[in-house]
Amino acid sequence: MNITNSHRILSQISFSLGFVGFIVGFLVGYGILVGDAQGRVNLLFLLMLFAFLPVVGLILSLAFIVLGGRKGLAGWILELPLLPQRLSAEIVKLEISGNRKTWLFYQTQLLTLSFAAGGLLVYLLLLIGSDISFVWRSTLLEAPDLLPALNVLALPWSFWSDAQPSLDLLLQTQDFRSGAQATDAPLLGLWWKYILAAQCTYNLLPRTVMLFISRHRYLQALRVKQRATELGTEPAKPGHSLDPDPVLAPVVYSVTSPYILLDWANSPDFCHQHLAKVLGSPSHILPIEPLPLPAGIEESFQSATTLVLVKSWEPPLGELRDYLTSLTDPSQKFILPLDWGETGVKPIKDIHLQEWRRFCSTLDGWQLLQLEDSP
Amino acid sequence: MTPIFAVVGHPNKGKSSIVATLARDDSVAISAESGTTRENQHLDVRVGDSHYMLVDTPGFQRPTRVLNWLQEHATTAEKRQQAVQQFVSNKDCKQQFPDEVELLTPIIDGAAILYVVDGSRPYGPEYEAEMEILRWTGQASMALINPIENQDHIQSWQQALGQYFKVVRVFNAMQVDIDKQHSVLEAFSIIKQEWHTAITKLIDAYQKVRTEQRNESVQLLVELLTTLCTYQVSQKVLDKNQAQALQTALESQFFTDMKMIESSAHDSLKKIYRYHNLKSELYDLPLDKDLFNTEKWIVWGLNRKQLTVAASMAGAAAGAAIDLGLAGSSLMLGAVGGGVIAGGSAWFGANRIAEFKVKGLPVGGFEARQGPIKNRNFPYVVLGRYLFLENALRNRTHARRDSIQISEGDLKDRIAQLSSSQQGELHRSFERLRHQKSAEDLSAVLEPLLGQ
Repeated sequence: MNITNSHRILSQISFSLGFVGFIVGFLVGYGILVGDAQGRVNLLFLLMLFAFLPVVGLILSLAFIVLGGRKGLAGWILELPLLPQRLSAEIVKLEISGNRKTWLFYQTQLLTLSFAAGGLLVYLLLLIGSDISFVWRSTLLEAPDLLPALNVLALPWSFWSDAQPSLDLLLQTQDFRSGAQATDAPLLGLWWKYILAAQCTYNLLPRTVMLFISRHRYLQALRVKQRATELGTEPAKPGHSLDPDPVLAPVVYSVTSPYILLDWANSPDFCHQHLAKVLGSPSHILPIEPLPLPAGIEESFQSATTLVLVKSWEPPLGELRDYLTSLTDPSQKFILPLDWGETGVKPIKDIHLQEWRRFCSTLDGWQLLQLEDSP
Repeated sequence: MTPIFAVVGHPNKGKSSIVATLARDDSVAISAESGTTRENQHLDVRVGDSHYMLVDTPGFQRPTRVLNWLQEHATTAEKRQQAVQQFVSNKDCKQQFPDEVELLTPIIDGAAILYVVDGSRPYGPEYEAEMEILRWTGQASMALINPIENQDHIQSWQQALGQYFKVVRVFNAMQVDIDKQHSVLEAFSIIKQEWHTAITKLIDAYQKVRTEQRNESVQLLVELLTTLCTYQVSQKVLDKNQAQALQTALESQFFTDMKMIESSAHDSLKKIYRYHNLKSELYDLPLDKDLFNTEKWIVWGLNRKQLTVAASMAGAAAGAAIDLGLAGSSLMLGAVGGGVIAGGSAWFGANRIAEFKVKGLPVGGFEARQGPIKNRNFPYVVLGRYLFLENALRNRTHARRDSIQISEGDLKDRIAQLSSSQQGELHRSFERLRHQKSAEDLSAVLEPLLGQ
């Protein structure tokens, strides 16, 4: 599945979560704000929903950021057996890139922001379309006990004087189900600004900030992954170019006697004995120093066959080439690569033979010799 | 100061293999044909934030004649280094001895010497000229005995090389372990004091890279397992016959894709360990043949069960809103009732919903699907093959050019070495993957299975 398609599927999931959050926020908000038969809404419940719970949620979110994040609310929802398999598979694949937690955190922020937006919308709609009476009830708390807490909550919007709580307002809006009730109807609606400010301050605003932070983290993680992918695809370096079809000199298996043996390899005696057995004894055996040519030998070359014995496993060096090309007189010239161990002659390896055949093909008048009955 | 090492020696004695191994890069060309390196190949080996240079040089071609030339130009020891400098800059020498000029140039410029010989073949006096030339350069040096075929002649080489080099090491370019590779660098931090800091930093960087490679391998394994275990191909069609007709095509696509996903992950793993040209052979994945099904889909891609769950939740939410509106006096009957009614309607009315048409098109239909894999053993097979390859890459040198035949290897033994809680975590994670659920912290679960 390509990146665009994955992105589209993840966007669909985000939209669905946002939609669900908004509807649930709207319904829950409506359920609380519609109040009792007289349209009275408990102020403390509202503060619980619009201030206390969002702040707790926010603290948990921040803790998740610091601690490395868990799956969050969105993660739990997406674990439900509700998503079609192709969508859930896409979420599982987020684990692949290591972005699953970051994405789920982002979705959780989206979900909670949508929830806050749903609650705020229903609040505004009900403010316009109905008369909400904000009252508060408590068995243990009195107005003077409650005021300091409400003042602390109102600190962030202290510049908005109309949205500040007062002892008088608290006393006027305390409700008792036994009969002693607040009666000043216009006063009952005055809390709306306080509730609106609380919603915006503790729910909408922080969730918006968190949404942007989580989105930034997710996009950054995607970029890092993308960069890592690009770096991981460095092209391989080209190798050396070799001749795919090298010219190989033919191999011959016999020489005409008499022959002169030039032992370039400083080979042991058993090699000479082996040669004598196969090719016959040489007229001369000359252990060669690289250069200059041995004195007094050149005359013999004119009539004799020359055989240069080399170590098969050692590649032919320029020094050998120089030496061989300097021997222009002999009528027949052979290179014999030979392999041997501690005790005797061994068969030459094919890879070495190929090397010597390549070398021999570049020399004028030289042939490559092999012994037919080598072990 | 950047450490620079010139790898020198006879042609075809494994210089390029040693360069590939030390550089940990299999794109370094290695040829069985001698004389393929005609010019110095400079390799900037980057290790995290550190780096050093390796110079793959041509082999000596005319060492005896070169030594003769040098001896003619330096009669006393203090003039030897100067003579080598003259040799490198001399125009005639460049024409007559191009290989020696090329290989000696970086050494004269300050590179340390890594002299390579083949320990599987007997020592010969023809090597003495080149060793003597290297001694004349006066640079820090080390001899590496590379036993290409066997170790039969290592001792004789050690005795000969010991007379020319302060440090002699056996270094099999095809098998050498990481510690031995580091020990070569460490030795130079002692021989060449001005490189001490840089080499120490390099070795630290190597350790860091090793850790990073391990982490990346784990991450890639997580990616491979989750992708393969969740992979499926599907197509929506109007009726069941059309869906069944797609079976062959979807099966073929599924098997091809699964194979490609695994091969692609293996290629990525090779790149993590800097193998760009390594070939591997893999037998086919044991995939179930009965993974095809045709499922009735209803609307928005939800099947009957999913539609019922969704409807129940929506009904319950709506009912809960009513409950809240009544301040709980309905005893949550709204939520319960809403959930039951909506869920029941969806379950029993699913077929009718599927038959609805919007602008002449049915909202329902059939989905032909191949996969995901159901076999309980499947993730273990994938895991075993991946670990086999990872282990082979970690313990292989970049000089090797043979391919790897991937098998499941020693997975059972590796799992047996885990603690019972780790084994439990592994099995649970694989079960979750098999059920298309994400496995939390799969990296941490898999990490102990990778060797050190």
